[in-house]
Amino acid sequence: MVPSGQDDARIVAGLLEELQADRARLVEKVRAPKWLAPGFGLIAASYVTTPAFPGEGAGDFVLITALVAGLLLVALSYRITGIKFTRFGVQAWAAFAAALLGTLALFSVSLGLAATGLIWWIAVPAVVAFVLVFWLASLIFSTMRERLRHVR
Amino acid sequence: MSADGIFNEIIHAPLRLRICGLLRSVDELDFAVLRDTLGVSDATLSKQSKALTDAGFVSVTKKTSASRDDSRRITWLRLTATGRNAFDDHVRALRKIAVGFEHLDNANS
Repeated sequence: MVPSGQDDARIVAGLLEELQADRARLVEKVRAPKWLAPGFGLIAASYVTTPAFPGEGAGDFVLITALVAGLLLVALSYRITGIKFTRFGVQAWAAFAAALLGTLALFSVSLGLAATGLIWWIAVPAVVAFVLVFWLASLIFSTMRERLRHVR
Repeated sequence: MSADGIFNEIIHAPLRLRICGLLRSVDELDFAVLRDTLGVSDATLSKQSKALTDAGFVSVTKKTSASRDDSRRITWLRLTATGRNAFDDHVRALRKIAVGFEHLDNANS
């Protein structure tokens, strides 16, 4: 039966508030696995170090391994948190693009260092890539987590 | 989809509404996470989610988990497209009722 009276409306308002409370409870329960952000940081850092390893196919191998590892991390985090997020959101996409562009920029710095023979200096952009992607991956997760509150 | 919303008797049962409300905010949710968030028993959640599944509003996928040594399966629940539309329509209908209540409340005060 469709609620129609003032008392019914009061109950309906309570139901809607309960939906928000449930979502807030879900947000509180969701915690990113501790290895998630460092995992993405390591993937970025390993990609940035590839110019230090000469040889045909080394770059492609690392790139493919990094992509597979990234997908595995996401799949594993779904299993552990018990949540598959539905939407990325503008902020998360911006952070993802920043991580991608930042890693590519640091990769080109590594290429330059390798070309000039400064192989050991490649550790610097690799560490920067780790820190940058670690931070951005944490930001993406917390952004997606907070978005749970603001769905219809 | 209706601007005023469409009241749905199946979704309106309080626990079913809460289940849909949580599933609406994600792509898929593990049965255990849903149960713990709602604070209900396995049996209660199974019964209510079955009603939603039978209505075509929720779909259930079971996957084996290598991380579990007792061969239990992870059960993922998600709102179907029909379920999402029905829930959105229902919430719109509820909001309309609740807004009417707020107007009345403001007029009385």
